[in-house]
Amino acid sequence: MNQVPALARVFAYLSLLTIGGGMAAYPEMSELTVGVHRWLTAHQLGHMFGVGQAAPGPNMMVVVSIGSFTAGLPGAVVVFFAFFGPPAVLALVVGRLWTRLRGRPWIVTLERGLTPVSIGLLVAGCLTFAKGAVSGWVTALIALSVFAIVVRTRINPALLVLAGALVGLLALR
Amino acid sequence: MIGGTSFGGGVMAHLRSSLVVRHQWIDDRTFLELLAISQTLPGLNTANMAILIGDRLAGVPGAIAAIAGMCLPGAVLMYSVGVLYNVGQERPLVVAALAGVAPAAVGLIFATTLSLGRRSLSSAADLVFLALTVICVNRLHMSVPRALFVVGGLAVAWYGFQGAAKKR
Repeated sequence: MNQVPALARVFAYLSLLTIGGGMAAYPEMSELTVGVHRWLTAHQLGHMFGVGQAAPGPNMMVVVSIGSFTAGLPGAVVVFFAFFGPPAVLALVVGRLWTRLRGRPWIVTLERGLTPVSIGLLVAGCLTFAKGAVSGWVTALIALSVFAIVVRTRINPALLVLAGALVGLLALR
Repeated sequence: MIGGTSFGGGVMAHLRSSLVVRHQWIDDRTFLELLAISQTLPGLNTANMAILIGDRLAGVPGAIAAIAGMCLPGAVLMYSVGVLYNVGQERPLVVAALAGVAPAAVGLIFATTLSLGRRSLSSAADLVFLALTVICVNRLHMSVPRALFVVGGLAVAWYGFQGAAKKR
């Protein structure tokens, strides 16, 4: 229970780092939840994050699992509001201002400059996660095949996560 | 309102086909503009889209309904995952399955990032700034705000000067 205030602080902070997408916050999330607060191990984080890719909605729902894993229902609820609240309010306010600001040169420049950096943050997050999840040729093969299948087809990603679980059961025991 | 029935990287495509094509609540240009705002602001892109579109259609109550519809199904599911994982994490079968799930997720997130990058990157300088950001975070272990400030400042200055030079 006493972890709840810390959970709120950490995930409210992380929520503001998700520029470009959720993965931008992954390196910091792993550092804070695993390294600093020791709420879970790197393995546990990787496992739950993986399952989260099969869940409906935004792909960072793993934050709710970290909350419930660490502090039960109160933890999950607090993390949910801490992680989704601040950006939601910001989006609401900026979304309304945007119609007035759009087209101004400095806005165009700002957007132009931040785009490659935000994608870079996503790639950095993906690499951090990959380092923990891929070890040995079986896992590398799973990652590469899923990547190729998603890029080339329109299959439901949840099925691929399930397929990963099956391969794990057969080959990684 | 907006169903939370879409999975993983497919959320955006699903959102577009349902909002623009099926219900015709907004046009394609508005959709792309809101998408650009979603990506520039902090927050998950899909959650930001829900807020922005919900607000356009029905004000603050619309925004709240939209983000709830988008997030709650997944949140409830992942709450249970956290609880169940507490109980079952040491069973060998669970560990083996999850060891396969994690790399599958790696493939998914790289594919999602690639499609986002293809859509939004357009010049060689973009790739340089992208690489610089990765190096700052992964090699130099900079925090995200610092990397954003350093490389972001550099990139904005670069495109700012370019814009000014073009005008002359």
